[in-house]
Amino acid sequence: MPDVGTSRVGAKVFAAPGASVDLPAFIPAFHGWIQRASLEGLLIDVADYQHVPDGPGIMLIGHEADRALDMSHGRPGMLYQHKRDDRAPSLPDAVRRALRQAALAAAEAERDPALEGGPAFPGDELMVRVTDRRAFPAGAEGSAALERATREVLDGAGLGGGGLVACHDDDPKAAPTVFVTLADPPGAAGLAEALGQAPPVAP
Amino acid sequence: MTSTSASWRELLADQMPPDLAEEIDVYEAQLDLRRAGKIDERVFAETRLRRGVYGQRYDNGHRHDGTAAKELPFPSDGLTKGPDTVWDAPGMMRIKIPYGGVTPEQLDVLADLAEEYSDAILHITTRQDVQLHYVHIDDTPDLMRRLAAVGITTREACGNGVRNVTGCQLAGVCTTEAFDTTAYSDALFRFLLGHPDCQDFGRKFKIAFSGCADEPCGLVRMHDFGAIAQVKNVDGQERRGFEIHVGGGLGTTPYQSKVLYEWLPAEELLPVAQAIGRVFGRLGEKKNRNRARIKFLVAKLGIEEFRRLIDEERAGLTEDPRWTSYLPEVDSFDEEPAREPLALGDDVPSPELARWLESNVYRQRQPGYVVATVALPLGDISSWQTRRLGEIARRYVGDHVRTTVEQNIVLRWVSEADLPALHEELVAIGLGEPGAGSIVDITACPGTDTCKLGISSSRGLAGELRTRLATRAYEMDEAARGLRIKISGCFNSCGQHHAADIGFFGNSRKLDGYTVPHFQVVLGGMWRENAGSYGMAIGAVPSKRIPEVVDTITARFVAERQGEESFQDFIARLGKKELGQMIAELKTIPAHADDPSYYTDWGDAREFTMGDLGVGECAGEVVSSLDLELSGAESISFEAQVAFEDGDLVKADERAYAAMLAAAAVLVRAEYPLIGSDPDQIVNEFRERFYDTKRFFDRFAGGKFARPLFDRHAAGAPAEPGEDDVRYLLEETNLFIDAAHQMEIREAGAQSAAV
Repeated sequence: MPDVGTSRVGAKVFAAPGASVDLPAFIPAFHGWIQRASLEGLLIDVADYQHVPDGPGIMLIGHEADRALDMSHGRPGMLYQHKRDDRAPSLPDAVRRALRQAALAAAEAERDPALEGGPAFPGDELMVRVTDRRAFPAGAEGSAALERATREVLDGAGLGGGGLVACHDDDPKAAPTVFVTLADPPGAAGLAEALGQAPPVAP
Repeated sequence: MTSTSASWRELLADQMPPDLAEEIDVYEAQLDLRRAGKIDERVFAETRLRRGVYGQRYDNGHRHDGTAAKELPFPSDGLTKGPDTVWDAPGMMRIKIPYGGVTPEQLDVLADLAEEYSDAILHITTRQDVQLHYVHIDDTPDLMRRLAAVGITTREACGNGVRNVTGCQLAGVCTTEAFDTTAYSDALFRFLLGHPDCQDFGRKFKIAFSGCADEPCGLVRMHDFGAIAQVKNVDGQERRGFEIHVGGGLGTTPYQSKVLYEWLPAEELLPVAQAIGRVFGRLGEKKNRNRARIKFLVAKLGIEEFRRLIDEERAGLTEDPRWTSYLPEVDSFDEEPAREPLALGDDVPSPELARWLESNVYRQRQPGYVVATVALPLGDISSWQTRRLGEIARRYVGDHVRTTVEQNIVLRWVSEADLPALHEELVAIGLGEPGAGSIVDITACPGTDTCKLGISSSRGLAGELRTRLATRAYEMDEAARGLRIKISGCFNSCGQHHAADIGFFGNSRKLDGYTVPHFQVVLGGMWRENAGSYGMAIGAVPSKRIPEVVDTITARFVAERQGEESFQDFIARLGKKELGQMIAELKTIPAHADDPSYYTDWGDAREFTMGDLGVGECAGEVVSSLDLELSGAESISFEAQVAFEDGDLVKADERAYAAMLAAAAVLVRAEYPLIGSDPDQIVNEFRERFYDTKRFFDRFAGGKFARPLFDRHAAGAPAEPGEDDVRYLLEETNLFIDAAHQMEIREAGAQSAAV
């Protein structure tokens, strides 16, 4: 399978198992992130999808990418979904970017006083998906390519050594999606740092 | 399909209809030309609008972040996709779904597109369209190609053309329809799509079909063009035809349609629609877009003269074989069920299933089959849910899926025996909620979430009301539970609030020196009879107190309802004066220092502002007294409404005019304290100071709201005012006073920004 490259990769860092999430609290928190430009890229607005079961929860809409306290796959987590790029990076590069940005957003949520008492993001349960059906159609081939890229990225960051378990979305029409469980939880900030850059100083 | 570097254009070349493929290529070329600066931004804006590519809030590159109006530094480098519209700003993609008909295959593609280009949410609109938000314009050509490959077009989904053709979601299975209108709505949709006679309108043109006159589903009476199915015995033979309506519409001033033809043979449907298009294109207003809908042309000409013009135009048309070529194929729209019609078993359903069966299931006229409504909260469904719903549809009903004007989805031809299993599968994907068509099934336009015109948060309010009502809907009296709530974020009425039992539209007021989100309360609109009558505004209430309005009205309805009295009759019996008193106390809120939460909108943590100008909100004394004086004009307007209700049209007309005059005088007096009470002087000063300078102009509606004062002043009191004319004047008077409030808010904002 040729590496055709893509920008449209998303990643989710799941909240700790059993974590209770106060979704409405993320509305003012995300507005605060926009005011303080807390994350990389252009942040635009907040979208409230609490009413959609297993949906995107509360979204932080951006130009290059959206973030969300996402409720899909039956569990809350911090989602990063890349939308734009001038050039398509390789799949591993896109995976690395998505995972790192999701981890940065999760770390920001853990630090934000407006979300005190909110969920922790241990960083050991991850989801990666590629939402570009032109380059990576739904199916086993796309999922396998994504799993290879994800393993490459996590191994390269020193995160796969303790054991890495991957499985695929069981929906045959879903975009290629890989769920990963790491043996050792690096924490959201640790995950971001391992993937290439320390998180920014809290505002 | 395996991984490839080929483009969607190449991949789908054999799957797209050639004409659609070519259109999209042309559109993509226009994007390139605009990027190169070779197309004027205004021309390009209309080009993209006619392909469903719409603007979205903050696309001017500015947003108030709760502390100040900030620039959104998009990387566009000055490139625009329309006047004051930044290229890289996210926009909305409207996708036409004629009569709401959609297949599982199309649902799959829509789900993929939402996930890849939008925010993984499909929004069903009040006109059966699908909207995707936060879409980048660079993605739109491929998005269109992927739709074209499954037979969907976005052409003329926006812009000044023929919009989606809507139709009853029960067409073909309904127990009260004259006949199935699906084939006719499909034929008219295809005939008018890109038709040369429909390319020169001053404004949009909306068409609706209904199978009968009494039910609401088609909402014919609030459309530019509507057709109600009728069967007539002609020379001993039953013939299909339509009662044809024209000139209905909501918007700022709602108009009920007029009957153009009491019965039109089906074979005349397409040529008459073409004739209407030609007359509207030729005689409709072009310069003033606020008077450009066909309702204004019909009102201006009168229905008899309009009919004469259509007859004349029709007689002169060159024969087109498409007018009737579809008629022999009408039966091909008959649907084949996917499953056998087996009866529901005798097992006692669970309470959850029983509620769902009661509210969400409609028994078809075909024995053994039902229509199941999938209630979508706020019209939203996620990509994941959409794919799963497509799978469920394949198993139970095949292709027989439609969207509804109440922002839901229906599955038709469900075998009754399958209902428990179907419900279970819907519950598993979060789509098994009961309450379709009830007080919890609230309709709302996008409002301030994404719409550039939104004033208050219609979706935020809808979400809040839904949450509160859902917990106690089944403890409510049945009469109250059956009421419909519809919410628009502004006066443009996309939430169809005029036709709701309880309607709201967004506006704002200055209280305690701050701009406060409000909703105008509109009661007693009729959803039945194809939106048979519209409600009347009774006053504006702060957003955060709207749930109390709902509680107060529903409690009173339950307590004081006489026998089987309808909500419309109840509202009429109480009267405007009583209703006004009922909500009077709810117009107050705590001071900002005591509880600032009243100064934010639902679902938004930012202190409320009116766009980029709503900064600071430090109004001075003059503004406060001005606001107080405007409330005097509102009182006079209220007197006008009471007089109208009492049938005193002369007084209602006079009071409405007096209210506008009073509001104009308030504005003038703030700058020219010596202004007297002479109407000529007030109107002249108002025109000079606020109209000619455009200070009174709404950002989008321009000077529209001032015209009724000028027109009524110039014309003088009518000897015998018509009921419709007075009703329109009452609506326009409210909008005039609202516009005065908005001007004050704008200018106070500009002042404080300057400070």
